Amino acid sequence: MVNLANPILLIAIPLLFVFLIAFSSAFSKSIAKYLPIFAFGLNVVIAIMIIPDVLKNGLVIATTAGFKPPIAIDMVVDRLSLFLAIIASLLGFVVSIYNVFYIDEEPEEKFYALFTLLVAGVIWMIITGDLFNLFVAFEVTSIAAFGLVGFHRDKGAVEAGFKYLVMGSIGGSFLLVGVIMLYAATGTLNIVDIAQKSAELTFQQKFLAYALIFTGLGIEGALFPLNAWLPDAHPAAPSSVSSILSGIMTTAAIYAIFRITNTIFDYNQIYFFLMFFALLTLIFGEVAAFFQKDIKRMLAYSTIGQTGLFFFAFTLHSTNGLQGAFMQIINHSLSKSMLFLIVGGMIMQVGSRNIDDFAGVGRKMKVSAFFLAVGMFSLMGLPPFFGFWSKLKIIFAALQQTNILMVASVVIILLMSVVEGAYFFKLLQAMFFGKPKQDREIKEASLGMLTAVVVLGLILLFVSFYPTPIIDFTHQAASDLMNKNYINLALKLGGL
Amino acid sequence: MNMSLELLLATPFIGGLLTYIGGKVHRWVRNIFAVLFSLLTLGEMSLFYNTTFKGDVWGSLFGSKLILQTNPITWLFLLIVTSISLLVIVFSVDDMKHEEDHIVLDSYYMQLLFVEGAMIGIVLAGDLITFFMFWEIMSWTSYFLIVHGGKKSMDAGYKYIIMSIIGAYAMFVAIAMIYSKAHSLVYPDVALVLSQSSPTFTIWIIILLGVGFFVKAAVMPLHTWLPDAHSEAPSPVSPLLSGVLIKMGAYGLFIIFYGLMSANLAKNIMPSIFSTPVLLYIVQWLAALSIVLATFLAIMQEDAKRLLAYSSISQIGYVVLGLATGTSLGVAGGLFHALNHAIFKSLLFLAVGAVIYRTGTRNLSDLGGLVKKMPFTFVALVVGIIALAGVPPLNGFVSKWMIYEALLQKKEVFLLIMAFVGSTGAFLYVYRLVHSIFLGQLSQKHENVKDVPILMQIPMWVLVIATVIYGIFPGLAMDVIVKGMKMFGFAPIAYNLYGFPQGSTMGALKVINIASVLMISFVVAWIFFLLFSKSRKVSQYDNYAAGQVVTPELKYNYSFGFYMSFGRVIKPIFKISIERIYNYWVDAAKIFGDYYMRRVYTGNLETYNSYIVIVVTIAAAAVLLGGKIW
Repeated sequence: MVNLANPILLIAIPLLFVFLIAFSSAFSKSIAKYLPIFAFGLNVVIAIMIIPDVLKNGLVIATTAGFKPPIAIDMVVDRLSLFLAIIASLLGFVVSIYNVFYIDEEPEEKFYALFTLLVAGVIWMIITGDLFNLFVAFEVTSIAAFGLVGFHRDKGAVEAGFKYLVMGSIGGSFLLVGVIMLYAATGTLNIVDIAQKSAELTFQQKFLAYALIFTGLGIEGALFPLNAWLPDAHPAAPSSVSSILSGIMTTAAIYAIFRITNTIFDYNQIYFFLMFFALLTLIFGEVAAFFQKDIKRMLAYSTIGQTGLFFFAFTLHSTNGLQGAFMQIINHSLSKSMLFLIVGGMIMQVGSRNIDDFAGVGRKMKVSAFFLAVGMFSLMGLPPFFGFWSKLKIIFAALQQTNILMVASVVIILLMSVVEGAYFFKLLQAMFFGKPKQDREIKEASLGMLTAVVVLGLILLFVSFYPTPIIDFTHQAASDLMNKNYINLALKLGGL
Repeated sequence: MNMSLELLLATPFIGGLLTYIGGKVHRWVRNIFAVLFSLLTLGEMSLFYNTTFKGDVWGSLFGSKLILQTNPITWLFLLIVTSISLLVIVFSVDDMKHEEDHIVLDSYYMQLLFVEGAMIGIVLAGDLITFFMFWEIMSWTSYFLIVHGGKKSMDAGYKYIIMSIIGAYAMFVAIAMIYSKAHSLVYPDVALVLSQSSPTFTIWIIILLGVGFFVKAAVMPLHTWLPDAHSEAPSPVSPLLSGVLIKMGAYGLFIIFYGLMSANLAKNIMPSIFSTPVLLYIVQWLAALSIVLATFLAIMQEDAKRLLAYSSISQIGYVVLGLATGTSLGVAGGLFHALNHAIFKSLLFLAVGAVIYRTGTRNLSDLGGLVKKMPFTFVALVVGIIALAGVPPLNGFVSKWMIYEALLQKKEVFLLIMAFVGSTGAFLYVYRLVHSIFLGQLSQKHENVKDVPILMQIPMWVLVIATVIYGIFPGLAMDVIVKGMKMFGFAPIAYNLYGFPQGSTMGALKVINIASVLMISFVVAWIFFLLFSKSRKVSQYDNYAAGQVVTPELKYNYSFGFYMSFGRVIKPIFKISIERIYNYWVDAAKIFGDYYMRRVYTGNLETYNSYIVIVVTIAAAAVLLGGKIW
């Protein structure tokens, strides 16, 4: 009996399907459409099957090729990577359904292959147990994303894709150099092993490697000022791709930064500086979003702002702060990817990305607009939606350290929330109460696309009204990360 | 111990959803559901008369218990919320009929009930998380109600929601600061923390919470959203906003001043002026300024609903002024005025809404002479304005008298004068209302106007009766208020059903006597008028103006710029517009933000790559310096 609750399958299945899609397209193009759904459907099932193990032991390690971890490639799933992997699989599944009805441009089979690869890469980044695999996953994700951003092949898409390609490659190189430097210093690539040996590193070895890895991941993770590719890439990409990029890919890079900072280096001095990155990201994201006329660009900048928010919560370096960060990640992933899916459907109907053209759309596309409002309210942190609980947690966590800097940060966060409210309400208002500009026939999005939206929306509503399990779970995940349970448990379970 | 509080809270929310679903079946199902559920809420609420529950735990979050509670003071506010909501919903059935898009109407009723539920949640909250949560829900649900009112209401609603969010986040900071100290946000724990913390901390908390409540209560200088929002909202929503929603700010102020700050705390941590802690003294002045300035602004309005909206700012000023006096009489007066204002302002907004329903305009200079066409609405409006002006025997009189008396006892003469000025000014603007709408020349296009349908009349009848009852029998309300205030540590004030007995510091007040004297003198004057009348009835066109015969097309009594000469006198005061100042700063911030955003996100790949280089260079510099930067 093969144990199906094996983290390796989370990567192996989508990768297998990437090849299947490529092969199947030779025979029938329509099969390729549906294969990603199966791939990520299986992934969701497997991820759910891993849950009991993780809850019981706190950590699940899967090794490959019959070697022991410092040499072998291993996959490590703790609570944090588990819930991110679940979100990634879930988004992959839901967006795959959406894609079937959304993508109508050739070459379709290449799109599906790249899309599957993108999500597979994201999951890989999340559950990998060694740094070189992190780099490989990073590159896999990036390459898939470059192609997908440029998928439409018009001028904007190609330009955005090229910008992303250049910046992403620079990021990848920095990441690689950083990993190599660490390898040279410690002689190992395993996260647990490096963490053990990192105490012996000199300042130069430690800091330079950290800075390079941080820069590389920060480019992908949308941290200011490294995030400039993002506002171009999101509007240019197909909405379903934006949904994945925004919902989980940037988050995966941020997750990697969590790991590097907290688990590997345990870099206590750096948090203070990271906080400035976080606040600047927040400010520039939200303020820039306010001025956008392009709806997807607005959402893209909003992603930057939200990233800044949960990265700020991470830099608080406390259990409460981490819990707030995790809750905000869940909130942002669900809401923002849902928003991109909805907006994709609306753009199909309206035929424009200009916010002014969306006037009155909400009264025609009622279901879409309802969930759009839910998603936006959740992002703004209005009760009773989930974003309220996470924002409450973040602010509470921030003000636990009562110094003037924290109060100032909280004021900045809340001011930026006001800005966020300003642009979201502007859009909602136009959508629900504005006078439609042209007499274009606007219909509700197709049933398949709505299904994807409604699934995400209902999950969001469910966690909004019943947040207790998530709150408990994220609290546990946060205290795991704070207490270095990743390393402790890995040592105990033979991860080294 | 009692599920009934949860039930009371849940009823409007469940009712709202059911109403929405009912709308899919038939519009009457929806209407009946809406009325039934608000009636049910009112019924459930009435069960709590004179009862006190403390600490009914309904959940917990981040280690702080979530609590519902009730006491006579909350009952008073529950009464305002539930009764006005019911009347508004009944009024809406006919008033909103013109809206063809049924989904808009379905969601309209749902949001009405949601706003009601949110306000019930605010009042019942026994801890700050519950309070804040429902506060925010109230903000965004009421936003959707405001923007139902058409094109102009969108800007109004936008301004409202942004200012609400700012106010709410000010509260949020305060709540988080308390949480960091207490790890519990239940009112008694909060009170304990505030009494044990440093004065600076406590004062900051009060200021931050106060900003949130001031925005909602529209106390100057945070009032700028109100005139637009209240006048642009649909007619049935305006009473809910003006009568009820802004009272939540007053309730919040009551809670922080007398619930969270224990009795002597404010006196101990700050100096006093006129035996009032300085913070409360500032609040008194802001309230008094609200009274006077808003009254002046109301006088100058040409738009009936805008006039009433400014009047609301002025009247809420009385409420806040009363609450900030800190004496039993003043606070009781403030609370009572909150109830009274809810009644008569809702009445006025409904009456004006009825006029708008029939004539389609709320521009005072377009109206006139409707008294014969809409006699009932006329009576309702007249009762409303008499109550607003504070003339006995209607309800505005007693509460205003109590506030004056409290100020007199504290010897705060300036504030007293300002309150008087506000009251006198109120005569000017309410007269304007009656004159321009109901008296004078009937416009030709309003020849066929009828009085409003019965469903719209009923709410006005109810409010007219309430105005009279609470005016003649102030003891009915004082029962609740005095009992509730005792729980917050106030000395009880002597009262009876008809008013106040002779006390050591104040004279007796018996409304019924004053009312009879007034009535008798009125009747005598009328008899004289009838007996010795020299007037003669003529047609309204049997007249001349500027040497010309008046024809129906001509408007012969002016109603535009009614108080123009008065306006010239007060004009210098309004050279400084608070709203302009806000707009200036918002515009400046926008220009600044836009300028810098364009310079950061240039769209140029070289620029973007140079950012990466900068980050890496800084890191490299840190290495070269050997980590000396920290």
